[in-house]
Amino acid sequence: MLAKLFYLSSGLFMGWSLGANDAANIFGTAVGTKMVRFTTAAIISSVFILLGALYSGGGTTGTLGSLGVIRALPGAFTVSLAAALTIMWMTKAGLPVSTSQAIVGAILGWNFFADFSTDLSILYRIVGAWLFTPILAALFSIGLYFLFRHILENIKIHLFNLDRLIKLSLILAGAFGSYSLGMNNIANVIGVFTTASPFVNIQVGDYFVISGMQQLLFIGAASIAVGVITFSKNVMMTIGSGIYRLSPVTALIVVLSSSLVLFLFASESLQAGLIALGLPTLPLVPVSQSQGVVGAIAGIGIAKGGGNVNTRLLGKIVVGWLLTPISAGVLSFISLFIMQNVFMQNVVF
Amino acid sequence: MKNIIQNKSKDLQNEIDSYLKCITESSLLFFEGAKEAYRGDYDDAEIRYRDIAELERKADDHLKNIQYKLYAYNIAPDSRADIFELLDGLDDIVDRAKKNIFQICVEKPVIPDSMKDDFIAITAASVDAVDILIQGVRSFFEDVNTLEGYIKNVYLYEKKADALEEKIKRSIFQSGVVDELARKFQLRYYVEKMAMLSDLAEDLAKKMLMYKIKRII
Repeated sequence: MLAKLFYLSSGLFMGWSLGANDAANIFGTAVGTKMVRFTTAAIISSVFILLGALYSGGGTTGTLGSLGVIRALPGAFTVSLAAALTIMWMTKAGLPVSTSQAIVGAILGWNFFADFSTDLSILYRIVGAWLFTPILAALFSIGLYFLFRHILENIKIHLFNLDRLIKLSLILAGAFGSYSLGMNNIANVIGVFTTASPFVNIQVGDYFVISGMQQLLFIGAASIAVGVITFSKNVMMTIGSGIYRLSPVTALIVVLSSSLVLFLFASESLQAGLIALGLPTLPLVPVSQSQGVVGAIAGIGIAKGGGNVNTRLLGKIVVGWLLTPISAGVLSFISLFIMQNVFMQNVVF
Repeated sequence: MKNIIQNKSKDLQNEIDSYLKCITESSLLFFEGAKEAYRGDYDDAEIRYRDIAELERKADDHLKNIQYKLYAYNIAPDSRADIFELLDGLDDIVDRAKKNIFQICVEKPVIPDSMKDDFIAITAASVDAVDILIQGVRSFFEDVNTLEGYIKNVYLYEKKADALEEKIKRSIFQSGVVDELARKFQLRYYVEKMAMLSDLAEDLAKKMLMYKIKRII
């Protein structure tokens, strides 16, 4: 059992890193500008990430699981580790990196290594969702920007009451953002372990069963929560007072827009509803929250009439998009080779 | 979280309200005191000066409480520095008005009868600029969308005060009504100090407009 838990550690590391960085995207401005205390943000974020992952994390997890069916636990460990190391290196190199792109690249590396064919229809859906994420977030933020501006220009409200309202909205939006993050990005943490899960169903009493999948979702979500509690404070402070400082209302728009995108790409109930109405559906795909945030900020820039496009930043993002899955794929392939031939572990079956 | 549930901001709103009342009252007393001094009723002007000083002390206490509550209750963290600077700026205006009355009471300048109306007019223009500014500060808190109207009016009264300043200065130095150079300088000093109140009001109005722009999303 200890060995099995060790093999899960790379996924837990991914979860921890996700919690430390992505929760900061949700509550960064609110905490950095002291609108919301870190403790409040950390508690809300952790609870709602757990709820999102446990209640609705199955959809995106299933998509990743079907992109590469990894049956051997050492193989899943190696794939997840390769993605985590890619994220670490690219972050050090200052390139915008997406956990979702890293894990998909690493899974493709496994498919090549194991000589399994990749389901191209799933891959196209995933890549399409990646491209659509910043665009959709920008569209949402443009809409929300005009809506908020219209409201603020037409209501008579005392500055302090508005402040209270914004604080409350930031907390609610943060809860929604955390829920969406949990439901969408849990796949990046445990998606590769679904087939090789070491957990078995636990019978509680006569009627209640905690399935292996539920245990996996819980442990993955818990690792994200640990990342939020232990390491996100510094990142939040950096976002709130440094690199791209947003006003509280702008931050609210950014959080809502990017969270809506994550929600749309992860909600099974929404998908079922659209199917029932005979409408086209969005695929359940883990997408990058950071890229959603970038898209939402760009949307606000467009709404404000800013015509300047930072081509250098845009170039960096494109490089990140290409480099992340390719690097993760190559690293995954090499790591699997080493794992199989140096450490003599069965990584395929 | 506790902050959002308990409406501590109401307490702060009341404190700001009391502070603004002190400032408004000081401004009115200043105008009355200045008129009395121009008429030569220095005893009455002295009483006004003492009343203004008392009100300024009260205003200082309110300002300290406002600063404490803004930070202790963590209210409007994004704009609290602007709020404090704005209210502190009003205190500077009252301080200037108090000093003006004090100087008049001490120096007792002799204002020629032909210039008294202009002196009252320049003081009135400055006081009007300050009063409109105070209304603007209220709208900054209560209904920011109406702020620009007040700011435009502050500019208008400041221009009026400037025009009167120019007119009175020409009159002092070119009409021959005042003979001694020392008296000319003394009267010019008072004209400038009275006009300075509207300048201070205009500076604060400009800052307030910046604070408003910062609040726009």
